Amino acid sequence: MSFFFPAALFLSVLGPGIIALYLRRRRRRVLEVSSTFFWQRVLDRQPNRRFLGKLRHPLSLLLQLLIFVLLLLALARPEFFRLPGQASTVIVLDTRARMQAGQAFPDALAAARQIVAHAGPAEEIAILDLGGESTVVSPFSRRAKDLRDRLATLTPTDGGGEAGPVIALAEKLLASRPEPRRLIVITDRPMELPASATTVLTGAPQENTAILELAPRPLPASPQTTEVFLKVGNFSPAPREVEVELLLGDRPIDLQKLTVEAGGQANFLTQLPAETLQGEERLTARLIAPDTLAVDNEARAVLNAARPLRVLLLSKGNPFLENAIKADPAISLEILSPSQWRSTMSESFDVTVFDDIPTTDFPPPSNALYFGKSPVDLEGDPIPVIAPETPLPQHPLLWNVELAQARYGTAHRLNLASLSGWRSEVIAESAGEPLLIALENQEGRRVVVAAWNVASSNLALKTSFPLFINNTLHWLAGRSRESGSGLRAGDVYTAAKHPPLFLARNGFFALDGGPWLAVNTSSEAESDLRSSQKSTPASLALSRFAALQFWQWLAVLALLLILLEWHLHHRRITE
Amino acid sequence: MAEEAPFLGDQFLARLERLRLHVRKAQAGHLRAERRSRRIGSSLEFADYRNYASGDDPRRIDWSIFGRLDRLMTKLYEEEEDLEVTILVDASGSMRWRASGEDAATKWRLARQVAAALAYLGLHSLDRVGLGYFDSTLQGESGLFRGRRAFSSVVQFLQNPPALGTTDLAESLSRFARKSRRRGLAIVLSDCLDPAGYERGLSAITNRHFALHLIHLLHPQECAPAAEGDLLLRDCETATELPVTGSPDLRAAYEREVQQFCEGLKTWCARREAGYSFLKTDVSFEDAIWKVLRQDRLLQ
Repeated sequence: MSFFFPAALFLSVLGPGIIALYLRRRRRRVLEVSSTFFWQRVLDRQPNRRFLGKLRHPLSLLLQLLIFVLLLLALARPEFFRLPGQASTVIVLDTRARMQAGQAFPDALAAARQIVAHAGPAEEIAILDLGGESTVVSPFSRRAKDLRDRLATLTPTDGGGEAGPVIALAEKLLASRPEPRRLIVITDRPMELPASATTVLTGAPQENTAILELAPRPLPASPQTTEVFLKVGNFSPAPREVEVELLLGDRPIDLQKLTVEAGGQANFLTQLPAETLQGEERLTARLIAPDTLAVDNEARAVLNAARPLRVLLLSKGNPFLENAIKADPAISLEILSPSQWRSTMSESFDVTVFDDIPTTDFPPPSNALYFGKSPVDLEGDPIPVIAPETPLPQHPLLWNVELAQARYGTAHRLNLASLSGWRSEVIAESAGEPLLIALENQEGRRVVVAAWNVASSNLALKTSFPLFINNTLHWLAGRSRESGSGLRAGDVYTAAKHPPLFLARNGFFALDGGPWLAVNTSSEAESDLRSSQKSTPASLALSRFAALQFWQWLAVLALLLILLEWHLHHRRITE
Repeated sequence: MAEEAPFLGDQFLARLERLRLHVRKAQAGHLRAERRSRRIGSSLEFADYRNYASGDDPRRIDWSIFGRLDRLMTKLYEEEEDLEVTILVDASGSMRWRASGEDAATKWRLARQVAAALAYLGLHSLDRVGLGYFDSTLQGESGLFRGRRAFSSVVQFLQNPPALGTTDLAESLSRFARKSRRRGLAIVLSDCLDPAGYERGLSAITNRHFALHLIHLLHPQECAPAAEGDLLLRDCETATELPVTGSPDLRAAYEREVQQFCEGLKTWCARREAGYSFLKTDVSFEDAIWKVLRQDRLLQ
């Protein structure tokens, strides 16, 4: 044991003064009574009382001396149990959505504060945020106040996140530090960690119901009508009956009662006619089921039907292509002949489609789809297309599309080496030559080049063609992301014309000049609280109050003894 | 009468006349009066039979018995005589103690009020009533009064108490018992706060075959004192001082002690066939008469 401020021990010379003051006894108050008869009999009958009566003053003196010693020690600030030398500790604090349930996050903060409070004088602590926007909350520091201030800025997000990268970063930070070093992960769920890491669990298994998915889409048979799909999960051991309320803007439009099996999910499908929408883009589903995690009881979606996709087709006349584009009612198509087109016209459209039109450059700032001739053509004769292959079958352009079933005749050779500043993906190729490429630059512009001519291929006769056109136009317009569907809190949103945006909170967000974004938790991992655990309930309950240093505990104990002494004095026990 | 009774009002005295003193066992009296006597006499209350003797009044022969048994039996009747009622009031310092915050000694005042009321009842029943003060000895005796007109003398006696003294129940009550020639009802009003005990004094009365009724008076502060902190208790009679540190535990022990004392006194009286009434001075005088003393069968 050592003292941070040993000079305070010199105040112990005041101890005899307390004893001297105590020796001055107070004069007793004289009270005339009719007879001391009963009093005498009481005192005679209880000889111990006389002895205890004599002890009362020493008891009070003892209490006050104890209070004095405690205060003295508190001033001297004794220090125990600290890591010796240049110790390093990384605290990884889980701030993912489910930490909002119950006392998980306050307990986690208390545990982190306790670690900070008990750090040695040469121990440096770094704090990492698991789930937050900036992972490193505090670099290595030995200033407890700074660390506490940084901890105070943390709040649980509405989203999830992967623990692996944060743990890896923590290990990387510790790797360059001298021994001893500690990695402490404070979370509500058990997870796989390195053997050297310590886990502090602050959660508790709880029942929860959540909206797992909210997806609107235009009804294929009647595009003006919006079909809404809703999935509700019940993460509890008993079936639950919940009510789901749908709101357009702030206007309630539907209320449904769902019964969800224990540990199961229930789907709900409804249709919103065009007259119901009244131009509103924001749809909210609200689960009326009280539970400890509120963040997943609400989900939001942006209705796509509100603004059509604007497409400009430059063609000498291609009914296959025109009809394939028109097949999607969400697309507004305009057709121009090549002679009428000026490059500035593309600014008014989301996508410009070039149907075998020779151009020298991609038209800024529009996204573009090229069939046949394109700015990336290589000089020379067209190449025959034999057995096209799709290296990226999961690419959005190929959803439900089979390119290999069609015949293409010949295709232009594409010069990928000429594409500086563009990230290219080969979606389909033939004999090692790229047949279909998707390009994207740093500004978010997208271009798709199909090296074959629509007129020379029988793909236009296949059912895959309108699907391919639809997939491609929506991918080019970035609709799949900007539509608001599938955006989850905790993700980073990237879109054309906008810097990356970390989605920390659920809700509707309007980008400058862009569409609404709807952000939801929508994560089974975050909503399933059954796997939450608590380390040791007693130690965690204690840790809420244990974020005090030893000298502060001494001061608290002294205060309690002062209260006890005051109580005994007023109960006339130590007077 | 009311002008002569500073303790009792006219209306109260009128109501009081509906009550009478009750004696547990019949006592022989001196003069003819309204109270049942141990003697055989000429009242209308049948007492017994005895064999006819010459000289007996032939009107008292029971002819129906003669008809059935062929024996002459004379009917005997009870005598109705007066009763000698002695009311002894404890005039020691503890009885005249004034509790803190009070401007009068409530125990002393209540004792004399009760004594006056009991004396009035005795006078009203044509009993012979005597009063006396006692502390360490028998301090003063009023002599015997008879008839309601003597009530003013009773009041005058009660208004002139002796000087303050210490309590000695054994000496004072033994002295009374030795002096009394005729047995009767002895009513003792006292707080019984005698360190030497109450047994000897009260036994002296019962041993002389008096019908004893003890009216035990205590102040609420004597039953449950509010003593807190370091105190020096000073006895108002002896001026002895006792250092005490008042605490809830000590007060509870004190209250238990008082309760045990009262119960012991009550038990002692019951064993000696003596009446016992406990009066805490926070009860009103009317309640003391109409409730407590009636309930304890001193009055009926």
